[in-house]
Amino acid sequence: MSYLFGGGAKQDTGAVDPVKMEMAVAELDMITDVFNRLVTSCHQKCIQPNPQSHRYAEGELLKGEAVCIDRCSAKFFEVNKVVGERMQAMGGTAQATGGFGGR
Amino acid sequence: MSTPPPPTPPPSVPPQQPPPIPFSATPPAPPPGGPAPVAPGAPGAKPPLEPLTGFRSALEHTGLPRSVLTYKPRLPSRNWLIFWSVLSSVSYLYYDDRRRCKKIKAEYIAKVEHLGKEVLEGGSLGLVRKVRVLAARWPEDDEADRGAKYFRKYLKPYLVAAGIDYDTLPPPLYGAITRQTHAAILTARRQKLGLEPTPVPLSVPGAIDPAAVEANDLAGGVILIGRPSLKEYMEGLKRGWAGSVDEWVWEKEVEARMKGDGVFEGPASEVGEASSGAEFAADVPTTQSSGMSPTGLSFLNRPQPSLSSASASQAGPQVPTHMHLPPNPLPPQPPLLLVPWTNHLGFQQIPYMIYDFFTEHRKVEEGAKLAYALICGHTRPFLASSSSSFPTANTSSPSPFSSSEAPASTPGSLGPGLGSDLDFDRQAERYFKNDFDDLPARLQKAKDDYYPDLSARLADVRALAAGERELTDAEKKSTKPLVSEEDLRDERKKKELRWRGQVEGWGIVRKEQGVTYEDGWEGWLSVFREPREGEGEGAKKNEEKVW
Repeated sequence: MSYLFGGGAKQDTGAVDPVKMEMAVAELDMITDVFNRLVTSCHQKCIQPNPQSHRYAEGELLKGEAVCIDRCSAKFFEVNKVVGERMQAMGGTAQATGGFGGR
Repeated sequence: MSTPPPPTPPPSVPPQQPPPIPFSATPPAPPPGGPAPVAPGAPGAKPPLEPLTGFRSALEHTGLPRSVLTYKPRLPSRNWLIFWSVLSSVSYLYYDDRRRCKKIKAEYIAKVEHLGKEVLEGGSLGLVRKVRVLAARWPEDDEADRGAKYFRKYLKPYLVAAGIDYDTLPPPLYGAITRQTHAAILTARRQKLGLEPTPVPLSVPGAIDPAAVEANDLAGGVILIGRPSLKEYMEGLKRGWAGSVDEWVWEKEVEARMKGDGVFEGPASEVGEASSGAEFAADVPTTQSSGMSPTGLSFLNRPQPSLSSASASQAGPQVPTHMHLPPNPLPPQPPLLLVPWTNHLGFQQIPYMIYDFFTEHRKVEEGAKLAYALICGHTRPFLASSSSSFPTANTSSPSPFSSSEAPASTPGSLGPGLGSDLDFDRQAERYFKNDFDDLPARLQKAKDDYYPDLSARLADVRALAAGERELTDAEKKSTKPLVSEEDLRDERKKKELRWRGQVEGWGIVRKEQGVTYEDGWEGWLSVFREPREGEGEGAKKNEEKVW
């Protein structure tokens, strides 16, 4: 988001760097996507396992649900991190060996 | 029944002579493979068929085969009988045991699930009760995780149902719990005394008040799985509260000890080996070590915590001596849940494993009761001395296991019993493998094997760096980065940390060493107990006297 506001600091009037805009938009999209997935996944696991039923047991957040959501989101980010590290490693070896030479 | 039963055959028919069977004299076709009916008495004749009695005679003409009508159930042969009886009894034992397990589990979950359905105070930012799970490594176990698995299988379902959060700290080595506890207590003490800056809370809407977190931690509880965990935890408490307040990180202490070894100094660098070897034996703690005591924060996984550069505590302002004294009275600790656990390892313990396989309901029942006690939250004081004259164990005078008799009634971890909590689950130590006693010797041998090899590799790497030799063919071909001196240093550091940690933990956990307990700790610690008659789940009550 800082791109949007930082780029607005007027050196050249009006022209915001389109490349940076693109990057910022892509990053925002990515974050929103991750967030939506997280919410959907943890909601399904912890609040309402049955996707057909559209009922909440109670209007307030329950203790069991709160604990479940804490652990669910922690695990989600952990998985995200591990997968990201793996991707980086793969990217690194791909760069070093000049291409995706198998696993 | 209105119709009378079918009449028996008329008594006028003589029993010896079978009545003439109609249509048998002229069968439409001869029975296959059977001779044509001839007069009885002739050679090769089929014996006359026995008359059917009772309802069978009525069914005779229905077309059902005779074999069906004259069917007589028989037992299978002796061998089959043996086979089926053995198989069915073993299967039934298994089935019945698992059925009981399910029943117990369902019963206890039903008891506590209403707690998980309570509304969370504070909405989504409310604090939930959180317990710490400390499961030390079982001696001679390759898997460090088994205690945590025991927790997950037998205690966690009830905590999940009741909406209680839990935190498992991984213990990579023996004695890791001691070191972690010591570090945590030291940090808290130093922060309270102002020697260390307290972490600044973020000014974010969702930030949680640290005081509330601390109160939650205190109310939560600590679950100790197995006697080794209790030993390590108590030792950690002692080191944390009775030790000095100087800044201390275990890895740094070990590094400082390694520095003078001279392994990485010059080309002829084996002078320092003798000193490091002798130090090994001194690592086993039998008396209180001087100030520095080890800790470990998963050193193999996480990077070193970067302490502020200004904290050169040795050279900096001296900590006033009164700060080193433990606060009096000692601050309250979260109550403990002592979970007895015996991990059977090895070929000779296979009979016990088989017995455990068929009696899992005992473990389920025990785990359920313990979890229920934790959830209800009633506590009793930690008993260090029993009503019998069984001597308590202190680190200064370790009571050898073999010379004393086990108390008549080892206390259940829940019931007050007559025994001491320091003897908690003592019978589990019988199942330690005998190899565990040789651990320091084995590690010393590993060291002796490693260091000559290391100096050879070091010389090799240094020669390469100095340009005295070329890359070998294998090194040229491989895609892995070349081994550098830094890598060798890191490897050596990791190995040293591992060895020293293991030896220190061995000193704490071995069966000759009792559970650490200081005299001033009376009434300080508390243990979860089963709720008595009339008590339900409630807020934690104050500690009650047992007598």
